[in-house]
This record gives sequence, C-alpha cells and structure tokens, in this order.
Amino acid sequence: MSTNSHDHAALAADFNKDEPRVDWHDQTLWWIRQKRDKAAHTVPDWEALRNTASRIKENVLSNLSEYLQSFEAAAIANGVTVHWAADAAEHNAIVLSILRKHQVDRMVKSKSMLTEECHLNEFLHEQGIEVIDTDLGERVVQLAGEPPSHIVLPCIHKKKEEIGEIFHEHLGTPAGNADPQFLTHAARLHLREKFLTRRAALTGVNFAIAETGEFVVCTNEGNADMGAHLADVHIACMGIEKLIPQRRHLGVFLRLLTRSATGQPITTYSSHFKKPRTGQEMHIVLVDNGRSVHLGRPDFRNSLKCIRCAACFNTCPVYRRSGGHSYHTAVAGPIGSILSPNLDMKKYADLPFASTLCGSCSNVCPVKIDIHEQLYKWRQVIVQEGYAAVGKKVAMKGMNWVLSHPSVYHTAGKAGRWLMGKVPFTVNNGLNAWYRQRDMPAPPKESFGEWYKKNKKS
Amino acid sequence: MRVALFIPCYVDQFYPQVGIATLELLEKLGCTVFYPPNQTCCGQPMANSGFEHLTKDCNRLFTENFLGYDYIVGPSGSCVLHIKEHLHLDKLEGYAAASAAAEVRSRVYELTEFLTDILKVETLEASFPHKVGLHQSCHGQRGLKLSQMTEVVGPAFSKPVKLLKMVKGIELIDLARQDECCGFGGTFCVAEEAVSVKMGKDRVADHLHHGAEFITGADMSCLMHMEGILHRQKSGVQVRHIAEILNSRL
Amino acid sequence: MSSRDKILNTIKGNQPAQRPLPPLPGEAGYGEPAAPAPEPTAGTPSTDGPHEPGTAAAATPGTPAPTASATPAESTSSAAEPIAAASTPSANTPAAPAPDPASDPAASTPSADTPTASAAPDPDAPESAPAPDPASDPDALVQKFITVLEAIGGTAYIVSGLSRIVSLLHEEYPDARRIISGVPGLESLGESGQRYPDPHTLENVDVAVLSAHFGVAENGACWITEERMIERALPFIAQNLVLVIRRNDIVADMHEAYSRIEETEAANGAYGFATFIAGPSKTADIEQSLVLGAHGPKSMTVFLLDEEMFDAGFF
Ligand code: SF4
Repeated sequence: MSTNSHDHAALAADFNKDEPRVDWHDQTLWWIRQKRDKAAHTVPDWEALRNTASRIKENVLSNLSEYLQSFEAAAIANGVTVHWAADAAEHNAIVLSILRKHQVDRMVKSKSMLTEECHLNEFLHEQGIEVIDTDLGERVVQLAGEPPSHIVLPCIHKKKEEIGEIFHEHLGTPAGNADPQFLTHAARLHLREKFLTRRAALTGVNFAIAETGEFVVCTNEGNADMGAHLADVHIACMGIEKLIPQRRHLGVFLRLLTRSATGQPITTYSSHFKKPRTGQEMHIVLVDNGRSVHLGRPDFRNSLKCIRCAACFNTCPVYRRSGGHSYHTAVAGPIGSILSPNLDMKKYADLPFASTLCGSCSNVCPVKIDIHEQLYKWRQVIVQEGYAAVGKKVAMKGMNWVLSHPSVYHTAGKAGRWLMGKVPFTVNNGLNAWYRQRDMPAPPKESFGEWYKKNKKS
Repeated sequence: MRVALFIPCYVDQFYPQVGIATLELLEKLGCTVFYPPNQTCCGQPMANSGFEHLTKDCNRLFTENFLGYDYIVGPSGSCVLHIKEHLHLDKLEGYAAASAAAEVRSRVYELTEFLTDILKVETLEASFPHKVGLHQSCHGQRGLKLSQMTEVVGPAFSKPVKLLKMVKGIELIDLARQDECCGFGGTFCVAEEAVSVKMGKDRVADHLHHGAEFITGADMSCLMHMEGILHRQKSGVQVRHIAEILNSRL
Repeated sequence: MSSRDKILNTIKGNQPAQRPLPPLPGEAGYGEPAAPAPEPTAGTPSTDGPHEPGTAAAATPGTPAPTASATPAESTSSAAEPIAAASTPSANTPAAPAPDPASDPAASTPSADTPTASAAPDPDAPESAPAPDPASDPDALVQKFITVLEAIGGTAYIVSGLSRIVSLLHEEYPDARRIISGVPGLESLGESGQRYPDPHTLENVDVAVLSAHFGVAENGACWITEERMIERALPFIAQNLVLVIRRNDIVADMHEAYSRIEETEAANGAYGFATFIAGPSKTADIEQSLVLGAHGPKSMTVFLLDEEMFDAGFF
C-alpha cells in the first residue's frame, strides 16, 4: 500500500468519515481489551509477573550478544541451520536461497510480523514464488490485497460481509454468505489443501531460548504446526530480540502473552521446536534490521522488550478510532509508533504524534515498556533532529492551540493580554481545527489574574 | 501553611471561576494562599509537541514564581504532571537554579491529591444535588495516580471520588468506560482533529447515556474539550471543574 | 565481515550494562522491585486503597470438589459425565462473556448471531481461582483444569478405567472411520504401533488418541512431547484430538509446568519437538466470532484417568 504520502492524521480523518464503522471498530477492540482485563484479574500476582517479565527482558537486552551466540551454538547442535540477516534485503535473500535450493516455488507461511516488516511476500512474488498466508486473518487480507491492520488480529478492520465477498470471489463460496462459522470452514478446506501440497513452510517465532536453542511458536489455529510438520523444509524467521535466557522463563511469558493479547489463558498451541524431524530441514533466520542500532538508544531500547501481544493496540483509544492502516507501517499501534521511527525517522515522523499520551498502553504492556513516555521522547528527537517534516507540520497545525497559551514562543510576561486579543479571532475561523466540531468557551469578563488583583490583592 | 496557587494559563483566561473556587476552597480549609502574579504557562503544549528544548524560559519563570512556598497547588492534573516530570533547569544555569527547580518539582500538587494526601480532608461543607459523571483525566489518573486504573490489577481507590462523596446530595453515575481518554491530548486536539473529536464525542456520549447532568473532572482542558462538543450538540449538560463542586455552597 | 559478526559487534557496542535475572514465582524475592533501577511501578500508588484484593480472604468459596479425594474406583466408573457444570462441549460454547452490559448496546462487537464465545475463560469460572494454594489440593487443581478447559472449548472426563474411555469414544465418535491410538492399552481403538513416514497420509484421521504428560490447571493446556505423538503432525492434522493423562498429573501453573518438563527431560531425555495443547484448533479472526476447528482438530477431549489404573500397570 502506498500510503507514505499521507500521515496518520490524514489517514485517520479518512477512516473517520464512516462513523458507524469507527464505532464498530472501536467496540470490537474494546471488547478484547475487556477480555484482557478479566484474564489479568484471574492472576493475583499479575503486576509482579509483568515486572518479572520486564526484568527478564532487560537482562536479555544487556546480554544479547552472548545469548545470541549461545542460542546459535545450541541450535546448530540440535541440527538446525542458523542464518544471520543484517537487514530486510538479506533476510529475503536467505529465504529465497533456501527455497531455490529445494526447488520450491510454493510455500505456506504462518504469522510473522517480521516478514511483514521485511516485505517478504512482495519480494518472493517478484521472484516467482507463491506464498500462502495460512493464518485465517492474514489469508483474508492477503486475498484482499491489503497489509494486516493489527499484529494479532490481521483482519480486524474487515466486516464479515466483506470477508464473505472476498471468499466468494477467491474461494467460490456462495455470494452473500457471511457466517463466520461457514467462512472459517471454507477457509479450512482451502488451507488444508495448501498444507498438504506445499513442501516448504515458514513460521514466525514468539520466543527463542538461548540455553537450549529451541524456539516457541504460539497459534490458536495450529497453522504454524500444520505447515511445519508437513513440509520438507521449515524456515523460522525471528528478530534478534526474541531471545529469552532459559526455558523456565517461558512460564512467565506464556502466562502473560495470550492473556494480554486476547484474554485467553494460553494459545491453543505453544509449540517448542528444537530439532528437525527425521528427513526434514530446519532453518532459523536471525534478523537484525535496525534492532542492534536501536539497542544503542538508551531512551528507546526498551521497546525491544516487546513480545507482540498487541494489548497496547487494543487499549489505545486512538488506534481503535483510526485503524491499523492509518499507521502506514507493518507494526501499527502504540508500539509501532515507537519502533518505526528507528527504521525511518522521516517516513514515520508523524507516528509519535498519533497519541494523546494517555498512558493506557504502558499500563497494559506485559513487559512494562514505557510506551507513552517513549512517544513523548520521540517527539523531542524528531523535532530536534530536523526530521520533523511532519512533526513540524503537526506543531504548526497545533499552533492555534499552542499560541493560545502564553508559551515560550512569546515572552512569557505579556502573554496573558495577548491571548485574549488573539484567541477569539483564530478560533472563530470556520476552518480552524478546533472549531470545526467544537465550540470554544465564551471569554469571561475578566481573567482569574484580573479578578485576583481586584478582589484579593491589597 | 503557605500555599502558592498555580492557575494554568487557559484556566486563567477562560475559566476564572475555577481559579476562584480553588482559591476559596483552599482558604476554607485553612491554607494561606498566594497567587504569584507573573505566572503564565507550564510549557506543556510546547513540550508535548516536541519542543521541550524551547521551554527553558518557561521553566525559569515558573521556578522563580513558585520557589519559597510550602506547597504549590494547581487545579490541573496535566499541568502539574508536566511540572513534576519536566521542570528541569540545566546545570548550565547554575547549581542553584537546578536545585530550585527540583525543589519546586517536589512541592507541586494537583488539587485533589493535595486535599487527600496533604490536608487529609475527611469532610467538606459542600452540596451539589445533581447527577454527576466523573471524567478521569489521563494525566491525573495514570500520571499522578489519582485513582486506580482499569488496566492495573490492584486495589481500588480514587482520590477525586473520595472527595466527591463528601459532597451532599451528589449522585455519581457509573460509566461504561471508567477511564478512557477524552481525546484532548494538548496539540493532539487540533493536529489529529478527527480522532480527537471522535474520542470526545464518545466520552460525552457515555456520560449522557448514563444520565449525567454535569461532567466533572480534575482537568479543565479535558472538560473544555468535552464542553466544546456538548455545546456544539446543543446539549444542556454542563461541565464543572471538581473544585467548583467541592466548593459549592450548602 | 559477515553479517553475523557485524550484528554481534554492533550489539556489543550498544548493549546496556549487565542487568541481573529476577527471581521467578516461587523463588525468594519474587515480585520485589529490581534493586538498581526500580521502575515507577504502576499500581503502587499511595495507600488509601480501601481493600487489598488477592489477600487470602478471597479464597475459594468452597471449591466444588467433584469427588472426594480418594475417589473409589467403582463409584466413579459409571459416572463419567463431563464434569464441569457447563457440560457444553465444543461448538455450542456459551455465548460470549458478554461485555459488561453497560458497555455497549446490542449493536456491539461480538456479532450476536454467532456462538462467539470469547476464547477467554468464562469470567465467573476462574474467579474462584485465586485460591490460596490450589497446589496443595489436587482436587481443586483437577476441578480448575476442567473448568478452564471447558471454557476454552475443550471437554474433560474423569474416568476410572481405559474401558470407559473406549466406550465414551465410541459414543462420541460413532462415525469415526480412522482412529489412531498411541495410548498403551487402547490399541483396540484403531491403528496403533505404526509409523507414518509420510505425514500427509494422516490427513483423513478422524480421531487421534494420545497420552500427554500432564495438564496445567490455570490454562487447560496439556504437555505432550514428540515420542507420544506418533508423528509430529498427528495432533494437529487429526479431525479430533483425544488426550489421556493421569488424574493426578495436573500442575497448578506454567511455572510448575516447566519444572515438570525439566524433570521429565532428565528422566526421558530431551525432546526434539513438544507442545502445549489447550483446546481445539480455533480462530476468532472473523469479527471476533469464535469458531472451533480452524485448520486442525475440531474438538479436544481430555480423559483424566484415575490413579489406580496406573498403579494397576497401565502405561
Ligand atoms: S509494546 Fe507491550 S503491549 Fe504492545 S505489543 Fe509489545 S508487548 Fe504487547
């Protein structure tokens, strides 16, 4: 999707043209947030668990090079081939070379936000390789020719009628049938055929264990397992931050992950892949793509703790009312807004501003990333580094508001009087962003300062 | 107890009655209240737009104005939070300045937390016989921890609710979403106008749906945003800063 | 320089100062803030919180203990009903833990026309969970396991003997044409003892019956390693999955689960592949409507076999 020319505010405004749809989107995600709350409340030591998860991940970040090497050594000993990719292009090339080696031109793929980040599908398509996304939600958006709008619920922006349409067109289901049960069954038949006929499967990785060289993939559908266990070649792609030190630490993360994500106590499948099965090849691609640089930003490195549960999406009042595509990046939502500027500060300069800084994201985050504080800090960096094409624009747009405060732009002392002169004028402008859908309070007879002088100061 | 009154710029200009209520309330409760007349703005609108580096003058002024009081109290969670977190003066300005800023940071309180934690108010002579919806402003709630947050697994508490419950005749309504952001967000309210307004409409709708006659809160900026929407919708529901309710006469 | 070395070098230059690993639940110091940089933790605001939840008082309001601890084998053998109150198996899971009624009028999300149970546990059920120490009460663990498993779309039976499993399976899957059993003592159910070098041939398996190592009360998951799967693909590709575990092999939570896994590994050697399975394959990708049977098993049944059977020499 070529949404780069737009910024979040413009895309969100677009999304908001259909208000009932915004309501539907908001309520769907809010419902998931509520399920998350209920699930969290069944764990009395929830906050201690979050704290522990956060500290484990901090330990990981402080030992990342050691853990990566230990993971690599263990994985190799387990009979797995380990690859390293410095960036998206190298990642894609590695995947391609594995497929070429096996003369595979059709592959199934389970959910992997990393491959979205690397635009693997487009790349392989150009190379003549067909990729079938097997997660139902991902399959839906793939058929629709769109990127996922949410990292856990890829087609959460689609109504069932639209999905019915897409299936009618691509899978031949009867027109007008929008029953989720029916559509899921149709997808089941469609995708089981793919699983049975594809010789290569790519999966993402939720956690990789430095100690044992194994990795864990969590799904509800079982699509990662169906793909991996039926294929001759299993390629698992992971960002280098997915490591955890020891297997027993999974106890902490698996308790948090799905409760945070969907409110389930655990995903249906939490599969621990260690060795290839007899006759199978297993590959792990360790991908950097900016992460090692990100690690060097003390204010922002903690975002690498993310376990991609999407709780911050579901709770974000802005995400819920602007939709994933308005973030024009693979990982949307609050976490995407603090990860993306690291990849391309100019292109994503708008994202840290797509927030009210309400802080709900940081409260739900199972690994306690200070998301809203990082949003604030990114704003400072973006402005200072001059990447503020959008940031500045935002500030300019915000000028009515900014200037309505006796701010530092104008020496503080005389600002009070200045304000009263200017504000009613700018604000009554019909094009003014405040006034379009809101009124301003009527200016009072006197300011508090004036009242005080008259009544109190003797 | 010498208390300096910190009245945020937009309250000063648009909602003088909120400043007056805050002042009267504090005096009623025995504080000696001063209003440093040269105060202007805490600098938050700039900082939240990424221009924190330009707020130095603001910080200096604020520090000068508010140094030397026992407490600094403001009727705005958001502005108070900004001061608490971001009022820093460089060592370049001298050690004294830096430590003065730290001093101010440590003495600034949002009104309801001041009443609850410092004055330890247990009763109030106030009456407000109306159905009232409480808007939990995010910076007060999640930033200053004025009340427990729905995301967090922990004991329930709420400083604003505790105070409001001391008001005679008041009926606090329940909301479907207790602590969802109203979408004001400082410059967000114009930079992301569409989402901001939608969030505000949704928040207002929740209060209307549950029968609020008044919407109150500890942050006038959120209330201004919601008031703007209520007016535009020609609703009869009004906003009142919590200070006005706590100061309402019998 | 290879990408590997380049990456590792950059990381070495950028990784922060050493942070220690925290204690895990059950270990001394768990839950206490980190010494060096205590985060300004949410949830620890000042102390006027009127009541501390989670203190023991919340206890299990009389855990419904289905059967007294030493279930006499005979008495239960005939009473192998699904245990938990909501004996609704799979498909007709109750209609969604409705969002607080206040939160949204009918229009709301969970498209009302589908049996959209959230995959979340029934809100009421695990409420009884913050039990003070369920670990010490095996019956409470079993009960909780069953409650949670049913809430996520699975079914559980406590059975006193393998023959009971056979008859229940015949009842439940009367039309099953292809059953594969990996459970010692249940060979008669169908194919057993074979290997399937080409896992694609498993596509038409109606029921796979396998023995798992243990279940986890807090989430209804069962742990099963590769040797017990016959083929890695089998538990995923079968149309229906049946797992058998010992009634006493229920651990409280995931921390205990991983301790248990370490023990099992120490005894049986390392696994090449293993998985937790919690309920049938499912998806809620279409408007958050829960549908059971996404790609894999449409149902998951767990038989909790009474201790005595094991002592009698099965397994
Ligand atoms: S930032 Fe936290 S809440 Fe958001 S996806 Fe990552 S782990 Fe989940």
